[in-house]
Amino acid sequence: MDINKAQLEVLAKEEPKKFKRKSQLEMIWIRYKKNKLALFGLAVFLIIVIVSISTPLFIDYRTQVIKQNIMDKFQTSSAAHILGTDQFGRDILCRLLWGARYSILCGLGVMVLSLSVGAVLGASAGYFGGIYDQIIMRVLDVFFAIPMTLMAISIVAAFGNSIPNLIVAISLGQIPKMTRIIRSSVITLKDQDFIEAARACDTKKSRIIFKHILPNAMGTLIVEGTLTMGKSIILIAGLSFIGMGIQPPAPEWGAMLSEAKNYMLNYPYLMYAPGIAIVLTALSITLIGDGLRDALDPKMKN
Amino acid sequence: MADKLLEIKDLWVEFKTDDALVHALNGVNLTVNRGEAYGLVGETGAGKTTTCKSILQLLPDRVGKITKGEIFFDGKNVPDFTEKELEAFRGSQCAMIFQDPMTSLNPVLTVGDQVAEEIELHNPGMSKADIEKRVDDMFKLVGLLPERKGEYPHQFSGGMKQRIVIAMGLACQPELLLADEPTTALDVTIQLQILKLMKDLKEEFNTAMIMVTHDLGIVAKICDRAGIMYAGEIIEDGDIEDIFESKYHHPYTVGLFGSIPDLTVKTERLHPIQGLMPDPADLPKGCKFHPRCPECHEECLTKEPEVYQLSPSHMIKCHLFKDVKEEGGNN
Amino acid sequence: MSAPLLQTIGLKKYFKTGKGTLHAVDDVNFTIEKGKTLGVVGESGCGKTTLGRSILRLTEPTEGQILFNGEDVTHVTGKKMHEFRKNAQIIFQDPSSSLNPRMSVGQLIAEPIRVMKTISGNKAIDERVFELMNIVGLDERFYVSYPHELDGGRRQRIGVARALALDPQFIVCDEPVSALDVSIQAQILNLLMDLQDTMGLTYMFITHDLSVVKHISDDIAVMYLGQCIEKAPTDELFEKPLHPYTQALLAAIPVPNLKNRSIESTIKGEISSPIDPKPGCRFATRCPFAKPECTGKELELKEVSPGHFVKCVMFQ
Repeated sequence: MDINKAQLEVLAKEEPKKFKRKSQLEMIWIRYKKNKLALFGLAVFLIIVIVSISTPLFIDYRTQVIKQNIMDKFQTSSAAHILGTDQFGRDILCRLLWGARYSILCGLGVMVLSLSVGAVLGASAGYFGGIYDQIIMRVLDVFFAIPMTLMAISIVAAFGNSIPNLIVAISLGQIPKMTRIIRSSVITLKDQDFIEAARACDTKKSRIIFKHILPNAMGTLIVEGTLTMGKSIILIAGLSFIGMGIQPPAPEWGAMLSEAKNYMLNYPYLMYAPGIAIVLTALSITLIGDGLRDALDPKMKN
Repeated sequence: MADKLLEIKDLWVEFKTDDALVHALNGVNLTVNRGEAYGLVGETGAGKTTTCKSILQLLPDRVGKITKGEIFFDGKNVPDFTEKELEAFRGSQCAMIFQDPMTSLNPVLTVGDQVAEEIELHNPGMSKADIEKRVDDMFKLVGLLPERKGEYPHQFSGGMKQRIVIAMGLACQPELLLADEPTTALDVTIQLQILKLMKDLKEEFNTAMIMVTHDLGIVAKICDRAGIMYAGEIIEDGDIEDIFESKYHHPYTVGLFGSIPDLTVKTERLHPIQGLMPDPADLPKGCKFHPRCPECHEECLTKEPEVYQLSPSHMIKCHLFKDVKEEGGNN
Repeated sequence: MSAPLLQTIGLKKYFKTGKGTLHAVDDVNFTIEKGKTLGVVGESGCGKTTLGRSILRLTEPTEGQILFNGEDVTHVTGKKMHEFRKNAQIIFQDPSSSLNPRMSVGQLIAEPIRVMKTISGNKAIDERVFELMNIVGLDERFYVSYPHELDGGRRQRIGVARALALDPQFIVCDEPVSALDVSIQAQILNLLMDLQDTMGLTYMFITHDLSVVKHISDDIAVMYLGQCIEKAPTDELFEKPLHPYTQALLAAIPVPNLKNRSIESTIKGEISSPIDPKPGCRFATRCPFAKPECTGKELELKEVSPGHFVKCVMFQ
């Protein structure tokens, strides 16, 4: 095979630099880095996550977060209480930091649940098509028709407002959209030749879906996932605000807002901290999602 | 000497991407005379399309830049044109046909409207009736029924779409037509029809043409002169007799001919060029072809070859031809 | 004469569309002997790709039989299907869409082995992958590369290596060089020919470009609108094409020399619709020699000289 030998010689002459290996993750990070807003979002999000994980190390729930201290109520910013205290004399900063875990936990829960259910339903509907696809999509259409918030409220009203119930209630609203998006990307992928190549080796359908189709739909999945997370954090806060979410005295941000609204005319500062926290968290996650969408698209290389 | 219509002098183009500086054109010299068909031959990434886009000043904004060189059209330097002059230049003096007819037609406009738009743009003040008549003429010219001008692009087959694109390109009777692989997306029998059409039209209107292709067979059929491009340079240039019948060739040209399965000769194996096109972001030193060249010697590794004029019409950029002259030269 | 490896009998593949039945493959019969190459030539829309996929049962044929090694594989399932898949592989036209972009070169070549479990143990699989890379001329350092980092020629080498991974007897090559540059085309063609010599492979080589199949094929079948209209040994087909369509195809190839610079296009118009075709010669609408008797009656593929079949009124 003279061609091959000659070619190898030529290859040996080529500069190794040309084929400098960069893993896909590295490439994604290089593209992601370029988006300054996305970097900001990532930084903010990381801080929030770290805070929500580490708060129990320096804040005691019973004495600092929920213990009422009527003597200290409505104090404005001071050295002891940087963000002041609320109507029961509780330190707002402590409550705010503790509250991060509810938002992050619920947001992540909704993302994981809706993403995994959506991925399985969407991928199978898209890949198998036909009557199976029809049944899944029509059932989901019914869910589509009910407003998300309304559905969440009714589920919580019926089954109680524990955190798992909340996650399920909000996920149910997200799953139909997630399924649709994944289904459509699977439909475009399944006609590609590499799926045909896999079929030519008698590859099992499950392996085709999980090994060949879903990894290629990952970009869409991650982006949709982060956007869903941002949305569900706002939704949780909204539910808590109207009293259907996480119940006082737990310092969920929406619940804090709800309590603060009674005193907003006299003590408006009570609303600033949780309000800003909600917006900042949701914004940071949305920025990450935007950044990822661009970074995962190889065409953005140039 | 024939009448020069287009003269490109030492044209350098760079593309700046995030992680690399791509040297797309590295000193292209090229002349097209009035009424002449010039074949620009090369493989993917040789810089054929970039050359055409530079002529029309269609390089992507901010990314692609002409760093050096001049493009004279009818004696005027195109890069110096103002926006207004460029607008007049594109279409009415110089038009381009792209490879894929599907992407150069707007799917929501009728084909007649698209041709009419082209005419209207360059003939402001022309009456509706005159434009319509002109559209009908163009359709007949490219072998389509004028009755079909009210139809949409998807109602036509690939070959017919390419006819419409050609009609659009010729609508304003440009002096120079840049055809970027106009038949690559088509079947061979349809390709032949389109080539015939282009040759006939060229003769009828005396339009000059740059035919970008990777197929030497097409060059042999319709071009008068041709240049072989490699890594952003024209490495051999000459009349087609020089390209197809001279015994002196750049080693790359020899390799190109060796890669084409010859229908008339019975051979067991093909003789391709070894290796791959160099990365335009990281071109080899010296002669850019040296890593693949079977005749490579020491000089080629470091020194860039000059252009050697073998005869008034035939030039080769290769160290091998330092002292070679055609027609009674030392041989 | 050696035994046929693959034989199709009356193979048909119809698709139901809104406008009618699309006859993608319509009654195709041929045999390929062991170690030989059949070139299938035709323009876009003639059904050559569908033919290749039907033979491999990537789309199920509507009618007819596929015999592989003398055994009817048209309807086999389970273990027998597994065996057939192991022996019959495919190389695709576009190496960028036929390789999973999320898998590295090593994973791509190993995938058929892992799925079919022909070799067990990561080390043994890796050894086989390196062996395959060596066979197709891919440097070992590309083991960890991803397809998008490589050029078209190298990608197609991955496609070839993947097809070889299971040691098949038969490979359908579906336009394997059409997306490549001429100099790379020749490299891949030479590689395929070398592999055939050393491994005794049998090819069905699908292409729209007659000049490409000339070197690699022993026999050539010309397809038009789902039917095989002429079949002959390669040299005979090039020297003595009988069907007007084959003649036109041959004449349409621009030859890179200056002997004949005039452009004569003998056939007019374009391929007609494959939906509900009328009986009779399907090329009649474009044929320069069309006669009234061309339409109305289905013609048969007739052997005019040994091994040379043609479907045309002039030779009935």
